[in-house]
Amino acid sequence: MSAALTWLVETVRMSCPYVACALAAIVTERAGIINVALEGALVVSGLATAVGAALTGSALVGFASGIVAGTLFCAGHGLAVVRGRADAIVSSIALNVIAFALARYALRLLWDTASSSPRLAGFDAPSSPALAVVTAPALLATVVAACLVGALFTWTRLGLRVDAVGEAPDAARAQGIDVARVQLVATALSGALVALGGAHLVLDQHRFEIGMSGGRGFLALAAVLVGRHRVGATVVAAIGLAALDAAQIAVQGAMKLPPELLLALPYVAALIVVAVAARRARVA
Amino acid sequence: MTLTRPHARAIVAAAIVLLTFDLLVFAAGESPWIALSRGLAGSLGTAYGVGQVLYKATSLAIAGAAFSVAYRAGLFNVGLEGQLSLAALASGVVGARLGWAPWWLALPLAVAAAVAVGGAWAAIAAWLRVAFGAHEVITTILLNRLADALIPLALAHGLGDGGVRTGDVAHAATIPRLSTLTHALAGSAASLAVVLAVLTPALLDRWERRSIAGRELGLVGPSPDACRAAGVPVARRLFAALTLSGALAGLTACGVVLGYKGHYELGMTAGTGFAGIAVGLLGRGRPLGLLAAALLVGALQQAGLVLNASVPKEATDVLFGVVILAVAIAGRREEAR
Amino acid sequence: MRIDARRLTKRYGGLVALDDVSVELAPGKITAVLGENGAGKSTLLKLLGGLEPATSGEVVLDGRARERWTLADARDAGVFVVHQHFSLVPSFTGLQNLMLGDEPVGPLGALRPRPLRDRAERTMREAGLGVDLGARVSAMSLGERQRLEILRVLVRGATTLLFDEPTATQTRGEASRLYAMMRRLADGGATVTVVTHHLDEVVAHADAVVVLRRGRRAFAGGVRDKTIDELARLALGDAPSAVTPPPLDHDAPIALELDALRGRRVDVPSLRVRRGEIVGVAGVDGNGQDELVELISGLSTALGGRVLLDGASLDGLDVAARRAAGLGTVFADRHRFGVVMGATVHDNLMLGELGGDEAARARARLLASGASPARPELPIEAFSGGNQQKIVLARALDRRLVALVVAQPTRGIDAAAAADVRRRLARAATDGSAILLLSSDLDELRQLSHRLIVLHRGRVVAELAPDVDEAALGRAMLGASAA
Repeated sequence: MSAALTWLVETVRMSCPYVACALAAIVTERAGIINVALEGALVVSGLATAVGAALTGSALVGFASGIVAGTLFCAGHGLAVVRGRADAIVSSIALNVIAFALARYALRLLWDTASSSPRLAGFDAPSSPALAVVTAPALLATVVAACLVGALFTWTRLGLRVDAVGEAPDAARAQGIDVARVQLVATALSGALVALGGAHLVLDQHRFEIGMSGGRGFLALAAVLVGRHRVGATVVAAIGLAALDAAQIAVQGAMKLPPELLLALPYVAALIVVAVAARRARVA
Repeated sequence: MTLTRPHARAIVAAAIVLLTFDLLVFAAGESPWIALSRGLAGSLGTAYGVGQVLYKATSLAIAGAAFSVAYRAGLFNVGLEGQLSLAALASGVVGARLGWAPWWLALPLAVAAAVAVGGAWAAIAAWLRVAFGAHEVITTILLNRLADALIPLALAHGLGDGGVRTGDVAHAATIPRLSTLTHALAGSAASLAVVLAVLTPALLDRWERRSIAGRELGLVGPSPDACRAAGVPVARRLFAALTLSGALAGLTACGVVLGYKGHYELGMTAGTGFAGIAVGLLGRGRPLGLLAAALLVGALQQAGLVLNASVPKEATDVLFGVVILAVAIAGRREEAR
Repeated sequence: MRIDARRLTKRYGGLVALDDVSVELAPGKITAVLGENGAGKSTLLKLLGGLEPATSGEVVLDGRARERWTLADARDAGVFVVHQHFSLVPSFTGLQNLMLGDEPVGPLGALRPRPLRDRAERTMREAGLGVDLGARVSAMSLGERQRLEILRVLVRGATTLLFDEPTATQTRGEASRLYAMMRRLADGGATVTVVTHHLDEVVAHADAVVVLRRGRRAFAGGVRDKTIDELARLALGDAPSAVTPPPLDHDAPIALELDALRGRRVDVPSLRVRRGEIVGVAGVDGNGQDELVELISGLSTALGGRVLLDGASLDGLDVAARRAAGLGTVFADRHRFGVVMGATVHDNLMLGELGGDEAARARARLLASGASPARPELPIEAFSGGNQQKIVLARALDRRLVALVVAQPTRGIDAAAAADVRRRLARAATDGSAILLLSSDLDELRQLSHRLIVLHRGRVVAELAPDVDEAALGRAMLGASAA
């Protein structure tokens, strides 16, 4: 494969978790709930995918358990914030701590290892590597999900209510809308969306690894800021992050730069982007 | 079923914590009761265990104070983790190059390096907040990840031994162990840094009550707009609060590097920052509250290590996350941010 | 439909907001609910509209008592509250706001706005309401937002409309048009109830009136059963005496001058206020008043022009420096810019001036403010809105003040406290301060000011004497050139 094609394929591969997290962040933030627990949701859904796949030998069961776990995890955030009236940031941080620890705990318990699950079954894939990346079921599901989230906010009652609840909860309440319920539905939905990314990471690599989420759940928040919570623009920004990741690998191979320096780049980029987006929001 | 009565909320929170504990221990094939008693015995039942709890509580109390000072100004410093690790690196790097200095120069220099680097790293987030309005939660998370990427780079290229650690800190720059004072604590990691753990929250509290800047922090937190309208230098106060928070995170690092290990190595402060957030929230920023919370969390961590053979020690981290969540639910939410 | 309240009582904790109140609202009539702030008007409306449950008492529809009376029940019965605030989503279009809460949906929860839009347009024609359904609410004028609110309840089948202070921020002309529309609805058989504290409106437009005072019903009956003075006394008790400004010395030096001051939404070519002079700034809310105060105080930076205090430019000085130079500022939004909730009265009195001989200064300010109880160690939450406002004012006033800029000093506080605040302002003018008074209470402006200027879309469109007739003032506030 040519370098350009490799870069393109890697971009597609890596865009899945970014886009999934960004979609999830859009849904919760538009419902008015801060959610910085996406990284944890990515870990938990990946773990559940691995456990499901390892126990049954079926990638499909793994995928499904990942979605369920992600949904429950984020619904937990919703419950803590909406019903328990916990501070959303504290709840997010606690859930991240739980997720990271739970992953290590489960690896120790199930496979007596500190870092990585054994090799797992994946979905049947075409023999061409490029084709395999592009046709990965979790990736396709994410593409569909992006379209659905776009449609949700443009054409559906739930989307309208999520926006209303996030922007003007008192106004929504005055119209008889159960604000808490809409927020719970939104957080649970966001969990299912992140889980697409978590499942993809695991099924793509055929194993679950500590640290495989790689901060994407946090970086995706920058994409959402740049995209100003709009689905299309945010997805583009998320794909941009993936392209940056993919370029990192390509450059690293070609230029022999210290890998840590390249690892640092997306975060520097994200910091700049967050600052610029914040100033823009402040002026507007 | 939105809970409003404080007692009901506290009971639910406690029940969640206990249930999680049982689940985690059962899953590992152990009896919760036995695990509890063995954990207690191993953490508070022996002099060594107490020493270890003290060692952990030292870091936790200072980190908790670090979190509190920013929180008082309405800032949520999720970046303790990154500030701590960079500061620990700094104290290791500087400490290793102080072989020529007498202790009264070496120790302050090593501490100052840690405090300066911790503060500087937090100052980036503070600047982004004040100059651009970028939310400190997002920027400090990103700065944590950036620190994670930069530290191995620094260790591998000049600042460390080329591997995963710095050289050994000069003896003159270390903080004496408590075991040099009493043999009962032999082998435990607790050092005289424990004095810092007691002094820091107390001095901070005094500053917050007595000084103009400290008092204004507590007013800027709940109502930045009213303060701005009354001529309080809000941006300066916010900047100072977050920077001070990072500097105290740097101080935290000293107990680990200068008081215990004698060098910095990759990942050695991991988790302390997040635990500090929990201690800060639990202790509600009051000096005695911070100390009590630090001892509690320290005992929990030590108990987890004791049980590691039968129940993976990560179980305590899970439990610890659940405790943060439970406390957040039990305590009333302050005004939505 | 006839809707009666029978012995409604509402308690919030220890506070009795509404105490055993019965009213009868008849179809085809406009019934006004009159009362002071805190008299229980809004509470009555919330109970009737099903927004909150009553502590005791019941709602009776056409003679049938309803045991359950929730928001959904009220809507099913065609009873709707038309809110003044907080009920439209700013970034939504008119049509989206119309849908919200009662969305017409097809399969899979997909919205089907077309039939609703048709129905809304028909209703607009019938009721004579003009609303651009495609425009975002944030781009709509206050009047258009109100029409959208009314349209929304009509489209949902409202036959009983409960208006919550619909004219609070309107000029008289706007209010008259609104009442004309209410009359059309009533003539079509609707039950119309309107909460207000404007007595003149009640007399001019309503058929029946309910007077509430301190949570109790003070009177209910036909508007013509009582004279204006009687109604006023029922609602207010004995009215506090009017406050007048001190005599103006036309040769006093200029203390506050705005010179070509320009911001994002305001542009004031020239304005001079002498020592001892009170200049009232009239205008419909949202015509640049907030920014004007921010620019003068130094809270936001001017795009051009200068503010001069005693002839010296305040250019480049921040809020604290301007304070030190003798400028006092009281912002309209007391909760956001005035008090620090959770802090003590002492800290609130000394905000921005901590240090030095604090305790004595705080005590002196608290005594001068007239707020009670005079205990600086209490949390500010322990004080009523009126007392909080006195504390905010005391903070601005206590120093050798050259000029005071004060916005909405009596908004949302009770009549006695408002009178105290006005007296304090008049005294500050007597003591030689220049005062720029921004208020949406026209009576207050006319009472206190030496002269009035009118702000419209950020520009000064008229300068008037305080005794100008209402109609001319109203026209100027709407941007028509003053005759």
